[in-house]
Amino acid sequence: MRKRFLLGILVLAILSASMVSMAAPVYKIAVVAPFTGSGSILGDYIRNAFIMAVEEINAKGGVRGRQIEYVIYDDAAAPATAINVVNKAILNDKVDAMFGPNMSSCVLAVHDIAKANKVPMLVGATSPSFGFDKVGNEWLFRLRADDEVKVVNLVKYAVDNLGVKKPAIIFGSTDYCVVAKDVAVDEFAKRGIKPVSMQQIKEGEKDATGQLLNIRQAAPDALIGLTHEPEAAVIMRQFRQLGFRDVDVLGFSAWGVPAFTDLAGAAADGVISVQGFTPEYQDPKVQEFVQKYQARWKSLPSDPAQAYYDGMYLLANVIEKVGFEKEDIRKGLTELKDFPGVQGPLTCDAKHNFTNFSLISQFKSGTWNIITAIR
Amino acid sequence: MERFKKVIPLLAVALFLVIPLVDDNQYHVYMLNRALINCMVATGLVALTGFAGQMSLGHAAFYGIGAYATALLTVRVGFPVWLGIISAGAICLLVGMVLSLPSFKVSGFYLSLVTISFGNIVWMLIVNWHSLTRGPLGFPGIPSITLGTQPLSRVGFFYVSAVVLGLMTLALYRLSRSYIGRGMKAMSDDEQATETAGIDTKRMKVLVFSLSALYGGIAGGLYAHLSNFLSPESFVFSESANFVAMAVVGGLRSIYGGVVGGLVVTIIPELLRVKGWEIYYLMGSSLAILLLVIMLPSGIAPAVQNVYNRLGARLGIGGSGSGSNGNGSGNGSAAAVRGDSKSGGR
Amino acid sequence: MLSLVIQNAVAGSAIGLLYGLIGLGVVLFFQTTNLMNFAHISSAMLGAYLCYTYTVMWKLPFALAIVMAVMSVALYGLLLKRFVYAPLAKRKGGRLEFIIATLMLSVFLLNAVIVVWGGVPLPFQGLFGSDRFPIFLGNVVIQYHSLFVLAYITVFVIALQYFFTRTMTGKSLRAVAQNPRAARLMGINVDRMLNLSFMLSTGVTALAGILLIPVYFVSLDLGSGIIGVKGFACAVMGGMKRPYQALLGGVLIGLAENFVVLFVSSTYRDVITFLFLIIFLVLRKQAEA
Repeated sequence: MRKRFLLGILVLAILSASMVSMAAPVYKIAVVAPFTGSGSILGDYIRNAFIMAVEEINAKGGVRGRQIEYVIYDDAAAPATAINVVNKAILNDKVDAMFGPNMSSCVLAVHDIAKANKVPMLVGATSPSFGFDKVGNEWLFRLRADDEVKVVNLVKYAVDNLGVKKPAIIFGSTDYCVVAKDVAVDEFAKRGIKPVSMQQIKEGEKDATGQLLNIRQAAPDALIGLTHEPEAAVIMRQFRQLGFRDVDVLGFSAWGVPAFTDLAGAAADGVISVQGFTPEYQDPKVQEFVQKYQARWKSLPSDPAQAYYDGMYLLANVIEKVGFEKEDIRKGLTELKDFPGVQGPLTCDAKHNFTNFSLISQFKSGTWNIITAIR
Repeated sequence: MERFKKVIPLLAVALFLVIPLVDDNQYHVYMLNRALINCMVATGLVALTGFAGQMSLGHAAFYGIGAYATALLTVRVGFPVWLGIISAGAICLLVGMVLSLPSFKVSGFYLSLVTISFGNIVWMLIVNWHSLTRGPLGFPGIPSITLGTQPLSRVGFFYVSAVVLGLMTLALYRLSRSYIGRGMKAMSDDEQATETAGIDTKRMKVLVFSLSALYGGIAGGLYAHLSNFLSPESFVFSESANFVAMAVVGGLRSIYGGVVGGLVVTIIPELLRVKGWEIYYLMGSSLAILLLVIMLPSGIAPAVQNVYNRLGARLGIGGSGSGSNGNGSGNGSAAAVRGDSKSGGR
Repeated sequence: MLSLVIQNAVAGSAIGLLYGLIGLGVVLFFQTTNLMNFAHISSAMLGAYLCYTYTVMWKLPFALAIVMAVMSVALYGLLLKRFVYAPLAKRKGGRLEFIIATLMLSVFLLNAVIVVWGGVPLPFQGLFGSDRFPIFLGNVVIQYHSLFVLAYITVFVIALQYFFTRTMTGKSLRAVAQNPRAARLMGINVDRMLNLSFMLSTGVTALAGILLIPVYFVSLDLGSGIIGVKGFACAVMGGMKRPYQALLGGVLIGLAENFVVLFVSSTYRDVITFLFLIIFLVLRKQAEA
């Protein structure tokens, strides 16, 4: 009995091997992203792009002579965990700035901690729910176009260019999907259109036939998909098998990334999606970024990667201008104008969004053909 | 000499209680607060599963109902925070009574399936009932606990939770030594025999379910006012599993099992949040808990108590077989429960 | 309307049979050990990921990859018995301890898979006819994959029946399930039978996991989430006695799900399905667990 108990203690002791802290003059940044759990698809893109930017900046001598040091935290895409790690980052590890979380509900859960401790927080989450106009946190900035902008563009394209009159909507159950659904319904209503069918598919569900049959019964002229990647793949495969005819498919940003097209295979052909970033965009600066990323990580970047890469450069640029004082950095970020990002100029607007850039593209025989780029 | 034996546990508690005064790292204090809240839920599970033999893998539901109840009552209705938390506990108590009804007919593994289903239903209601909970958008702006007009600091929250947890543990201790507590243990050993002996097992079940639901609800209420933000992800099945893991790791049949397990299981993953380990720490912590369960199936608290008793005996302090500290009486029935689960049920 | 009902019935049965495949392993395991393995669904995940590795990365023939994946997972089942079950049994850990240990094991395996294979679902196209255009019977669509599943189930159930009623090992296994003490007295090596039972249930589930790839992809959803619970639900609905009854339980659940979507709402589908399960559990004939 005693031996066993001592063994237990030993295990605990080994586990509690603590961390070492450094005391060199560095600029310390926290990266909070999901690496476990449902959102772990995104964590790798974010980390890779961020590390790439930091390595480039440090190789050129850092910011104002200081090297950038980063600590990566896993929020498991869960707000309760995000609160734990942001507390650790800000109160224990004393970071100077923070990138992430990348999930909107996590941002909502933690942004007050950043505000109370005056830590600039740059996030890639895209829900309109935490814009400066909504929560009024002057320390919180967004690196990507918010979902409202993207859905508005998608609906506009559907109605104006495709002449959609009887859309059916299928949506997921996370904040990402629900916000998009609300915006889409509003936007259609503004144009005098009411969706003929609204169906929900929960994250992790693998059978959408029930929902799709209901939709088929309503005879729509377009299917608007507002779900995450795996559900998008499930829907598209069964959509093809159930024999829909003359129905356009328009999907939200998750329907425009490889995690969806790889899974759906041929079923993804013809899908129109609104994207925040795509490596297929034939812009010289985008292609330069794609090549650098590919050379460093042996894989193609996807949506959130470029945002965090830009974000690190943007922060470094502001620090070079105003110094290390947190209040000055916050002001510098707020006043930022026309900073050259990978996909064009970045300017802080009234919602504290740096960009409204989005692309409307169609997936055709294995690649995305860009239809329009909207700023 | 007897007195000396009682001093050491008190000393340990006192040492724990001064941590926030000595350590001004607010992250540590926050994690201790989270741990104390988890301890409450785990203590409720010790009562339910350890003492009364009823399995629940859906306790995140009570935690969630409590959290959302106080959030709604304080934000939308304007209740003061303390009343919100008490109401949260009361609501959970009622829901717990309802959940005890299936346990009249269903036991063991089947009961755990019922509670898993219950947990999933509550979670899905939180996700889908937008007008009430704002669903996946999350529920922001929940007020902190205030002391007069000042919001309570994290250190203050620590002491409030510690007192609440202390009261919960004390209540459980008193209960376990009462007629009802002995009845519960008897029921967990052999339900039919208990029934034959004239003890109303249904009443026992209603009582213990509502008690542990109350603990879960109050814990959820405190969590809502600690984090100021709620979202459905905090109340999924894996949280329920985590709560049971706490009770098991601490010691299901020990009064202190919930407290010890809650602290250990909350702190382990945080200790493993080492730089560069962001994808490994969950592997590490689940493995650590797995090993703890395998090596100490009856839990840490009884093991510590055992070692302590033996050391005491060797040093000539106190009687070795006294078993007078709350746990001793639990051991006998624990063995019986295990015996039942190995040979019975066929 | 009629074709809509039939189509929903077909689709519901198809997905229900997949749940049932998971439930099969649950019953097989419960039969001999009287325990619930909450890391049960992890076997399906491991089976799918290993099969993916063997075929796509190691470029082995598919049939060989399946055999190897199933055998690897059966080996894992043996390790599970040796390093989780046996030590717990030796220290008199009860049913709940085993549940918690296996729950933690499932968290561990899930995160191990994320570390090794990453969190992104892996595409594995063209398995079991999933790329072929489905069969149309009037307005009703039947997917090729469902036919594969049906064929597999037929063969498997007959094989299982033969194994349990005609072979010595199968009979011994049943004897152990009914009364381990008596079986021991009859000269059956109970420990060996336990080993076999662990390997059988994990191996069968691994095979189910591979069969689920066209629907679930090679993804973490196979090792977490709701399908594990649904597997238990199938087993319970089938009465926990005969493995193939779990398939019926699965079909029942699949049908319930699809008809809730058709007649009530897709949003509250799972709420209603779980309510249905609770009511079923309470009303069902008193079985001991």
